[in-house]
Amino acid sequence: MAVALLLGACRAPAPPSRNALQDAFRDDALTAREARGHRVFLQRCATCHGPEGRGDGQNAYNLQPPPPDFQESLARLSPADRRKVIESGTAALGRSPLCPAWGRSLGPDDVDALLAWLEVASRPASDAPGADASPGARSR
Amino acid sequence: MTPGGLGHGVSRRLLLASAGLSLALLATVVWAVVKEARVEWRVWQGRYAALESAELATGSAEDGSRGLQQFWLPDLDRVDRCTSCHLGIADPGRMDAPQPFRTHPGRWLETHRPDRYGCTSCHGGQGEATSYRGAAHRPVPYWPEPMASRELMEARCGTCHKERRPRGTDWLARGRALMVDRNCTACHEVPGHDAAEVRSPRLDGLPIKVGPAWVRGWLKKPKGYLPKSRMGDFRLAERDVEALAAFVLPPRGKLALDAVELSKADTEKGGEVFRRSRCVTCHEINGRGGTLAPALTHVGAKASREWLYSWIRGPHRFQPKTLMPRFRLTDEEARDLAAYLSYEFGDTPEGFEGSDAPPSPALAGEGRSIFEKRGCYSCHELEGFPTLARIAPKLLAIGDRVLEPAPLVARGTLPTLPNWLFTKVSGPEQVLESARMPTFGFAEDEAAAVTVALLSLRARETPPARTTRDPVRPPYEPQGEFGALVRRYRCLSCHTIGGSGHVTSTGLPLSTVALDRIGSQLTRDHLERFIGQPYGVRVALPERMPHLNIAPEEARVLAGYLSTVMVDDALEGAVPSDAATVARGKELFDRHGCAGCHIVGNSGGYVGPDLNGGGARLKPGWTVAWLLEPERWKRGTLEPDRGLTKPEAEALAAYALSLPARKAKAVGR
Repeated sequence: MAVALLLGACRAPAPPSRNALQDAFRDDALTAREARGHRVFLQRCATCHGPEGRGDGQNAYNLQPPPPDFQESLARLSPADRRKVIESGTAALGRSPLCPAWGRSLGPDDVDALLAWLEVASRPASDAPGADASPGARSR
Repeated sequence: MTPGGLGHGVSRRLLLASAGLSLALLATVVWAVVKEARVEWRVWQGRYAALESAELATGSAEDGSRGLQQFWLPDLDRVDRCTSCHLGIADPGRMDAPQPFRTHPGRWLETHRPDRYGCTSCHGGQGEATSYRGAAHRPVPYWPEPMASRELMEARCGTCHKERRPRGTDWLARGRALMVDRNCTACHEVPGHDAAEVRSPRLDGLPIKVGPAWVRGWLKKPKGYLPKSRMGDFRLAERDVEALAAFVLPPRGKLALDAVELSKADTEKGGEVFRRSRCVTCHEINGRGGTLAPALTHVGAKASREWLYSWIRGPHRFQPKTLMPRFRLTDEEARDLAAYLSYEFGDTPEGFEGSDAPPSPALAGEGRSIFEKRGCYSCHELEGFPTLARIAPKLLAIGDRVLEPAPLVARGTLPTLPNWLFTKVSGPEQVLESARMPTFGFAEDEAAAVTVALLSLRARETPPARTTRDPVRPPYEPQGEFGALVRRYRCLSCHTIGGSGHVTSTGLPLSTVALDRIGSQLTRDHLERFIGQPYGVRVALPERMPHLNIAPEEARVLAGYLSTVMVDDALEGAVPSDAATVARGKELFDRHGCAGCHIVGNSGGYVGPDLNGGGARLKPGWTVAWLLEPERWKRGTLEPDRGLTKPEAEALAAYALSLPARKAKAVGR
């Protein structure tokens, strides 16, 4: 029902916000953790993976194999394997070593945030943003 | 005394009343005992015990009461009883438990142990309370410090972490940087900020630079000329614009333009100078390019060719504090460049207009009083005015400001302090029509970041032992021949030495290359070559060092000084260069996929530096130190920390340094 309410709220003309400041923090449909993950991604990963993880970073065409489109590839990777790739690199899964290990450079919180954002990046673009954002994930 | 019954001499009515009172007392006592047993925190402790015994399947009959829990922190003046209900907060096994029992998210408790920091010093709220409402989980009347929402948590971090960029913060660091960038601290007193940070043009030279039409247009709407103007919109009435123009436009001071024969100028050659010098590293053109300096998209409509020529030849004469280097250009090159800028970027922006008629001198006096009233001289130096007017309220305790009566915020918005600050930062006119503060035109997220930074300015200081600050270092002011070159070429507009150097609105210097130990990182020969003829070491980096046209003898002085003074003895060292080590390095290079980012030979990635001829550029000791701990030397770098052992790092360095330079490739242009 909460989802239905949320959807309803999206369609109705936006009423003046009770909490204008809180809204300013909300980056589209991302939770705070996902937004942080995206910032980490833009800084460390986007140069190859592209800003939204579609495999279209400026360095992508120098790589063989090229970085995948997350919307297609991530579903095939279990959460545990995703963490493994971030922390220990693709070589840890026996693949090409082109995606390096970030576990030592990133703090554990950044890795967690990155995983949260990857969840968003793996969703097909057709999903309406917000429809999938469970309200529970955002509450404290 | 007459022996007799209890009732003797006592009226029946009194007896009944006394019995009633006794019953009432008994009932009160029972009620109090029951209520005390049913207080919120005891109920939670009971449920927590039930949770535990259900897990252990012991079914133990303990009542589960642990008693009231509290942390008493005299130096922080806090008594926090939050753990009376938040019983699993430090238990890693309660990640999925229902609230209030859930484990604290993240690893914060490792660095902020509750017994040392309590709970409310980070979260806010009323620590002594033992009920949900009393603890001010949500705003409550008469408690000025409600618990911070997750979004505003960084403001709480900033209470103790007073660095410009506290580690791990995004909003706070950005907000603090924005406050400096927009010169908030010129009008508002903020602890730790002084006049040296304020960066705005002096106005003495204005009359020889711009005409009445531009001044009128600019005063009416700065963003009409510069979409990223750092100056806010003062919402001036037509008459105020006229008066200010009348005050600032009459010639003053001794500044004069250089004489130049522009009829001989060649705009095509000027365009070459423009591209070769990489002006776009700092200046934006049509929305693309650097943001360190003002956009040049319409510069020809603002300043005359004569002014551009004089400025390019000697910017420091006009603006001693400018970030712009004095490029070593010939008079002809400067003339051609001025002509090119004027010709190529001469369109007036759409909607940016003002009459070109000279303003009425009669209004100058009125203009002067507006200049004073709106604090223009706080940012803009002008002879006869003190620096730093500080005409606005002090902000030292703004985060604890109690707003009484309820403040004006946007319609429909909760009248809380954060919302009030956000509204005011977004547009002061929304709070007060006649506000003196200009409208800076912050984007929503920028205004939110500034609000976080403001909320971190608290009245109650944390004890010094609990506070972290940037180390206090005297500004680095090199002297002598080297110093003169550093000032001329404005090296510290992009680079830093000892923490000195310009910080952009992102809170970071433009260049990621600090010069503190550059002499131990790069060879003297490379430094000399690069300074004289800079090129893109990291191929894909958009910010490239501008081509300052530094003379060979100057490059020698700079490289010599950097190589002898800007060094770190701990980084000096050699690596073995035998074939076996190099081969091991090559194997590691392949195994770690280094070619994904680095060019070797003719292939590789565009992320890190081209490694061909690495030995002529990099020093061995530094290369090893870098590979071992990249994050230590450059926080946030794209070089991953692979956890290499020292021999591995040495082998990799040996390999990188053994790579020959590419043949017959003109480096640079």
